[in-house]
Amino acid sequence: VTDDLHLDVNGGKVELGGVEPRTRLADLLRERLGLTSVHLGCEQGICGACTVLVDGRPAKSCIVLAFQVRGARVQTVESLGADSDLHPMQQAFRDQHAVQCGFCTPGMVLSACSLLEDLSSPSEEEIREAISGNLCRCTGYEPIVDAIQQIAASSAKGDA
Amino acid sequence: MRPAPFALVSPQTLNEVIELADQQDVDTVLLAGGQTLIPLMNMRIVRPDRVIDLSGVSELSGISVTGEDVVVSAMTRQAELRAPSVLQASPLLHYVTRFVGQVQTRSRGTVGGSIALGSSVGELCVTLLALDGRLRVDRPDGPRWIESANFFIDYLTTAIGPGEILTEVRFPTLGDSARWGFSELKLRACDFPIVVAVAILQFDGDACTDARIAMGGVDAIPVRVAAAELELVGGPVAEGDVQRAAARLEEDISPGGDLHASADYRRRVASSQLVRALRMAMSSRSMA
Repeated sequence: VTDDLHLDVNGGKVELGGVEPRTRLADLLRERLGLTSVHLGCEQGICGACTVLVDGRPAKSCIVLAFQVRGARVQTVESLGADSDLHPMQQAFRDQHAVQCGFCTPGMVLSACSLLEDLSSPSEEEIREAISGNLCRCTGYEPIVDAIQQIAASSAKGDA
Repeated sequence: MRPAPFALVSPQTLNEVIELADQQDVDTVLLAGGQTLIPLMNMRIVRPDRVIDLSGVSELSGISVTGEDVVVSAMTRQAELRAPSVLQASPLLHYVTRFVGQVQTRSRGTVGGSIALGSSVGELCVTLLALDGRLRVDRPDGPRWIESANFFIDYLTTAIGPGEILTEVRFPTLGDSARWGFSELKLRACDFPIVVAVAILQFDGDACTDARIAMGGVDAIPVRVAAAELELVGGPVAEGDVQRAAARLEEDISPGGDLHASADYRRRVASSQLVRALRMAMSSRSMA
């Protein structure tokens, strides 16, 4: 059984044919659309490396089937910035050395961006809660929290 | 891994869902938000021939507040319980939702899905039981209502029968004279809880007139702990009463040991979580 799928990915309309119902959103993004920032770690909704934004809300794309996001707006890290023009959150991760192996980073960045959409100056506790669904196995949480706080502090000053 | 192949059905109305769910000759699962079901399908622990996707049924979504209840349609995303209208009507429900999964799963996971799973450590299940909530189940010959006290039957087993579908969950609101507390132990924020405790105390002046305490992780299903509740009723609630209530937990709980915690550890954690939930209730003046 195949199905046609319409959705908005990183600001562009996407229409795909031949999508099997069992196709996970993560597989669709990686294999059909080449968006390999979507990392598959545990494939059971624990590690959060596959986190993407669906209609602006963070979701674990390994436990979302592609047909469940028909018509939705999906964003991956590829939509944020380019190598030469990093998104402020990406720049903050770089400034704070919040990347070690990098596997969790795309999910962390998207969870952080979503948090700051909701709360412009979150507390450290709120930051830790927002990334509690994203595991970092390099145990680098401190610089990650620092990076998100850097953005929160600069937006509090009104210059981000 | 990826799910095994299945046939997809995407009904648009509740009537279509009821008709489809009643076809019991096909190995079928109902897909709500999928935050439990899809991991199980990824691992191929669940391999249905047919999946009924409920996400297109708009009449199954939404929250309304009546004088007595927060009425939540089954497909409402858990994240929506963080809405200001829920905070106003049921601060307890709003608060507890923060502990359900993580923000990355509450965006997809549904209230009905979580309740229909019936996990002993499901925060919404334990809260519904403490609140004495009600559930609406639909089937071809019409709806029926189930009291939360009769809903949880056994490990991951509820009173929803074959061919029936959970359509609505009613969380009663609390009056101004109620105090509540919540506590749970998780080793990591992304883990399942080991023990969950929800305590609701009704007061007339300084005297506690009714106590409803529900706990998860201490039996196959969420349970009320009647002996502990009795210790709290009939007068003001002081720290000594809290400790006496915790000491009587043993009469109503029978935890099993598993990979996450031994039975003895669960007993000890149950006691400490109940104490914390009760202290939270007593430290609030009128949080209801």
